[in-house]
Amino acid sequence: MGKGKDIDVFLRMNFLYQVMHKTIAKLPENLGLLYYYGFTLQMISQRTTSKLDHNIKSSICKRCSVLLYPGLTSIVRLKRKRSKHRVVTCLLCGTRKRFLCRPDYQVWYDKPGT
Amino acid sequence: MSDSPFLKTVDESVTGSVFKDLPLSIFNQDGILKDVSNKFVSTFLKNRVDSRLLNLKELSKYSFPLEQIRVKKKKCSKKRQQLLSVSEKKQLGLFKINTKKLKFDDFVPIHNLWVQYMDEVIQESSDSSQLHQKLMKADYHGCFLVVCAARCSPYLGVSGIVMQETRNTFKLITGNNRVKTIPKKNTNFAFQHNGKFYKIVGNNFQSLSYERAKGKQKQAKSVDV
Repeated sequence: MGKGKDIDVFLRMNFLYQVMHKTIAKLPENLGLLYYYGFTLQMISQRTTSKLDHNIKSSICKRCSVLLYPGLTSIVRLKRKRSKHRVVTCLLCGTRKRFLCRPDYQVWYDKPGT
Repeated sequence: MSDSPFLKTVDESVTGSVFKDLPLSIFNQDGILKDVSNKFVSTFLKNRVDSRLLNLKELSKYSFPLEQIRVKKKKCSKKRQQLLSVSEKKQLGLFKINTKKLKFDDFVPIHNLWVQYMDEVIQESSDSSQLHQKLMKADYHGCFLVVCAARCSPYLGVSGIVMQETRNTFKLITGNNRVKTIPKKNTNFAFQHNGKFYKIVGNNFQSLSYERAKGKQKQAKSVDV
């Protein structure tokens, strides 16, 4: 992922992502801090034009930039009306994310050849 | 004044001649105005309406409901609004941080994380010029800072873990579970790592925390306080 110069940025984003998990464990009621850490994480990747890992990106709300922790800040449901998929709804702003549940499917980034 | 002819005539007209009830010939047996209304309506229509519609019998075929004017529905755009505006974020309460409920012990695990993070940052850099650039780009959430020099004397000696960093201030949590905001201008901070002391000149850090990550930063002179 990070070769050469940009290692500092990825180290910093990784650190901030772990801080968000620590804050939700200790201070689950304080959403202001969670928003602040999530917003800085998103802005760092924007300003330095460095991509977030897709696992990190899918676990942060696109609209209000709060960590989507199932049970505390989000609800996860499985649905099968169209093709089978997983729906994650943010409890703060109410946005939905849908992820397809296909067997034997890998994201392009995770494939060994790339 | 009483001899003038005008006054007398006016008095007579008021009492008798001008105001009279309508004659009974106009009314029908049911007491409904018939003839007058047709004349009145036809003259009114002559002045106002097109000549084609003058026949009252033709007009009676149609019905003119008053609620005819319908409001057209606006087509809503297919794109829904993706991002929140600042006023909507305020309504959700995203900018509020309850400083009274925060405790120093909650931030200790974040500080332990930061020590591991700082190990990785400082390991790789060997030269002093490289180290300076890396420290400028590094993150300071969870760092234990001490104010070592300040132009404003009551800030001296304040120490705590960094909770938030804004453009012009650091927000520290002290050991007494209190949040203190300290301006960066004209203050120097210091922190300890692996037995070495590092100094931060506040005047160089006057930018947003995510703005510092990009590009090279200019090295300003340290201020004698």
